[in-house]
Amino acid sequence: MTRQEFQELAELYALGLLDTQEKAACEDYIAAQPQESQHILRSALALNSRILGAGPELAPPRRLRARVISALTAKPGRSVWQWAWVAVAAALVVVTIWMERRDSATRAELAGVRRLLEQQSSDARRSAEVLAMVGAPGTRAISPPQGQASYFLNPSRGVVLIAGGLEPLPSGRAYEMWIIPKGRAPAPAGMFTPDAQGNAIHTFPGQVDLSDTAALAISDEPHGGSPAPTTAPRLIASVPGG
Amino acid sequence: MVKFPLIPESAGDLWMLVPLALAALRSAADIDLVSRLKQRDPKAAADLYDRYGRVVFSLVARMVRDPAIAEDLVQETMLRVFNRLQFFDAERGSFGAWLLAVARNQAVDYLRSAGGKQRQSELFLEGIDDPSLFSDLGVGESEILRFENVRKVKEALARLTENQRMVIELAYFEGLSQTEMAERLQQPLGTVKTWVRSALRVMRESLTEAVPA
Repeated sequence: MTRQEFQELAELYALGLLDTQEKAACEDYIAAQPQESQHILRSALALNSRILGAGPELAPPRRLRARVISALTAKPGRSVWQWAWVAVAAALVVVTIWMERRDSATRAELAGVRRLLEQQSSDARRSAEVLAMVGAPGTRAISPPQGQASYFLNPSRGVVLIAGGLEPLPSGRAYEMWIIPKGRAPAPAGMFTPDAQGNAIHTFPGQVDLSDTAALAISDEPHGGSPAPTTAPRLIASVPGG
Repeated sequence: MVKFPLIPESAGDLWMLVPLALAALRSAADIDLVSRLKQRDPKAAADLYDRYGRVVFSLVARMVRDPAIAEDLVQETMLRVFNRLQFFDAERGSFGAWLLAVARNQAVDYLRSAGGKQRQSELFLEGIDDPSLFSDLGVGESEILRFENVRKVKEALARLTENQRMVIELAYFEGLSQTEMAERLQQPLGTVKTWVRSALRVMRESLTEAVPA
């Protein structure tokens, strides 16, 4: 590019309007002729300024003055680095709040998991106890004629009831298990509530005299239990030889 | 419809340029203004607007043709200049020229973004209002903005053909490249380049005494 060619393009170069090829050629010239090109460029900037500043006047709205002054005085020319620090500080606050919330959510999640584990642990202990009783030497299994349940009796360990398909009970009611001795009134053997599917495992620990026990049964009773059945006993299973 | 003519329609319209001419400044006054702006003198912000607000608004309103957008751009222009003052050499620089370049770039940026255009020259705009470029232009604010300059520019524009005046308008006030002008005017690129170069040559020659060689 010659001096004259650069001079012809200098105003457009200063306006940022050259295509890639012409712009590159101008920059090559500027690099090769720094002093001369700067002189031409400054003349071009001056010409551009004269043209831009020579247009007809349009009156700005009155409110613009207050708006501009407010903007300038409200933002007292912070440097890029100052803004960068403000941005970093704001980002740290956001991250801290996010981590705090995440930590809180994590703690709640851990508490839920802990409760689940405790429940599962409790269920596991209970299952182990049931299995130990059911599998213990001397345990006998009896069932009511309609099926639906099994009673496991062990003279030294007590009774385990495993039942399915039990009817759901209204609020304030629960099932109560009864040990019915020969010739005497039924004795309460603990309350239980089946799950949503009507399944239940109920354990009554303690010694049971099989020779004195005629039958086992359950009945629908108030939640706190009854000293004697107040509704018709169900799932009555006779103890053979009892 | 508001018209934004490149030059006043008649000699009588020149009176509307008088306030612009009154905004003409002595360089010494600008040195003082820039110094007070750098020191964050609260009154300097008002002085900056009073001195240049009208000129800058006139330029950007003419370019974007929307007074509300022009208000936003005037504020952005003033803020941009205000925040980059530490890079401006008040003793050697031409503050008004720099301010107008920043204002034009703000308006061109808006026009490009509003039109959804991605132009190859867009990134180039980032550097062309660098305050360091506006040192030793050989013209002060009084020369750039004064009534005499307005008259000389008007006379120079009057010497142009209609096509030459059109490409000057498109380049300076619509931010179109020569390729974009060719598309807009549906003319061969070579023809448009000829119009642009010849128009700029006339402008240079007409304003020679004010633009040091």
